[in-house]
This record gives sequence, structure tokens and C-alpha cells, in this order.
Amino acid sequence: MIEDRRVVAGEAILSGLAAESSRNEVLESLVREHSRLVYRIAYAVLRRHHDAEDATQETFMRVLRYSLKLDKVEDAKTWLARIAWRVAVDRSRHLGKRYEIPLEDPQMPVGEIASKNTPADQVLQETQLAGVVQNLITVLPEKLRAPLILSALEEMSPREIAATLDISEAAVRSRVFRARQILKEKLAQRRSGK
Amino acid sequence: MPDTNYKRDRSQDQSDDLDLMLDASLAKYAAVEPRPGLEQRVLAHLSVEAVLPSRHPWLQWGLAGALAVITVVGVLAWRSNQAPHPVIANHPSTTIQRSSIQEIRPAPHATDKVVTVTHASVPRPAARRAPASRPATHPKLDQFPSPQPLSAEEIALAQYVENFPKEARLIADTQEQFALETQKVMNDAGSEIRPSGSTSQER
Repeated sequence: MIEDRRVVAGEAILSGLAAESSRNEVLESLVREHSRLVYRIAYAVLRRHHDAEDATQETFMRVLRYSLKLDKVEDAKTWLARIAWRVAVDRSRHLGKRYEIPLEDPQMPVGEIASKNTPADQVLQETQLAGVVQNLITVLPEKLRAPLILSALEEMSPREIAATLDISEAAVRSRVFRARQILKEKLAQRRSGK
Repeated sequence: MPDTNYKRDRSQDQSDDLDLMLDASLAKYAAVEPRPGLEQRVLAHLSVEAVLPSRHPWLQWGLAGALAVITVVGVLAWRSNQAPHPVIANHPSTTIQRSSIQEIRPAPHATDKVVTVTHASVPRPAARRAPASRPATHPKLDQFPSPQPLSAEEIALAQYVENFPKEARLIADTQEQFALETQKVMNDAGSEIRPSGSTSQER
């Protein structure tokens, strides 16, 4: 009888360890597959390298906290994107009380460095335009800004954006369209003003 | 007509141009790469955090429970230490008791007087005196940590004396006079007559 109990307890411990190790493996694979996406979502909101990295760490910390529920997650990418979005928005609200989001990150990430083959005037023009668009995006209503930012990320489909923002896919499309219309109008006004 | 077509084409071209500009700007807005080694940093952070708190959640609960028990025991001990002082402080003052007894007592027997006076005025040894830091209202707490309160009869008697001092004095004098007369009769009659018998006869 005692031997049977020992065997059962041993099996339970082993299965627990196996489950924990499998959870760790799942977590590791999530980090390897989606940390770039999480970072880009965070950077799209926060516009600062350090804040984006902190938000990425915090996102995966939350995932670790809920690692027992990892088995129930159907779409890990959307789930992670949703967590990352919430973390970044919360952090942005918190940081917004302390300082304004700068137009240029002093530690510019690698992807934003222009190619050496591009002419200097074109680089300058594109940089200025990017700054203008960024300003215009900042003043967009939150309802339009969120889907536009996420749609700019190449990894995010309208379905995933809808799941992340908890709205319908049609709403995502219409809001992105309206946001683009507003931006185009502003850019056109700016161009005609010159 | 060609003019309107021209304008439409031109506005279409302008819109396409703006679309292209916007697409390029949005692509630049989102095209960002993390610093190299982000995955390793995240994994390292996760491994540290995973080892520290989450593998032993029972330890946190155990510590919290132990802390709560220690707090409760400390509070109970503190309250039990605090409790006896108010009980002693609530006792009626011994001086009041003594003065009231002395006022109503006619002191018929010399021995009683001696006992009362002895109880009130015998000096204590210096070593047994309460320390100077103790409050003056409880000088004898070392010898009498819990002085007995007055009985119901004593309290009634003291109240009577307080309320009717003249009558009390009169009763005390009468009692004393009666005792003296009894003593005198006993002396006259000799040892054959008992005081109880004389008292009942006189009454």
C-alpha cells in the first residue's frame, strides 16, 4: 500500500516536473519567435528604445506569471500582441505624466539608420517627412491611432489587430482608412501651404 | 471636358503620391529592430524571475502566515501585560476606607484601636518600599498588589456616615456609653454575671 502511494507520488512529481519543463520550453519558444514583434509593438507606442525594451521584458514577465494557462492559449501571437499592447499603453500613460515623447530617439535602433547608398537630400527629406507623419499620428484620436499603428507593423494582419484591440475586423479596416484619410489631408494641406 | 479629366487625373496622381508618401512614412514609423541580444536578455530575466519567486509559492504563504501569527501573539501579550494596571487603579483608595472606618468606629475596645492604628501607621522597612518611579497613589503595591475592596456593608456604612454625620456620631456615642455602662455593671456584679446576660436584662 505504502509502496503504491510512493509510486503515485513519484509519478506526480515527475509529471509536474515534466509539465514545468514543457512550460519553460513553450515560454522560450515564445520569446524566440515573438520577442521582435513585442518589441516593435512597444516601440510603436512608446517611441523610445529603453522603454520599448522594458515593456518587452514586462510583457514576457506577465506571460511567465500566467504560464500555467499557456496550454489554453489558442493563438499565442495574438495573445502576446494583446499583452504587449496593454503593457505599452499603460507604460505610455505612466510616462506621459513625466515627459513628452521625443520625436527622435537618441539611441536610434538599427533599422532606422538609412542606407549609405541613399542620397543625402533624400535622406533628409524622408526624415523630415517621417517626423511630420509621426507628429500627425500623435495628434490622431486614440480610436484611430491604435489600429493605424498596429497596421503599420508588417507582422500584424487585420484579424490579429482586431483581436488585439478587441474590436471587429471591419472596424479595424474602417478606422485605418479614416486615419489614413486624415493624415493624407493634413499632408496635402502642408504641401499646398509650402 | 478634357480639363476636368485633367484635374481628376491630377488629383488622382496627387492622392497616389500622398499614399506612397504615407506608406513610406508608416513603414519607417514601424520599421525598427531591437538591439541585438534581446531574446537572450529576456530569457535571462525570465530565468532569474522564474527561479526566485514562482517555484516556491508556498514559502511566501508560509512566511506571511508566520508573520501574522507572530503579530497576533505579540498583540495578545502586550494586551495581557497592559490589563492588570487598570484593575488596580480602579480600586477605591485605602485612605478613604481607613478614614471612614475610623470615623464611625466608637473604638470600644483598646485592642481594636491598637490593631487599626498599627495597620495604618506601622512604618515599612526601607527595602520594601516601592520605587520612587511608581505613582504615589499606589505606594504599597509590593505588599498588597491587589487590595480588597470594601464589602457591601462597609460601603453602606460609609455612605451613611457621609450622609448623616451627626446621627452617626450620636449612635457612636450611645454605643460607647452603653459599652461603658456594661463594663461598669460587670465590674460591680463581679465575674458571676456574664456581659451578654446583663445586656439582655438591661435591654
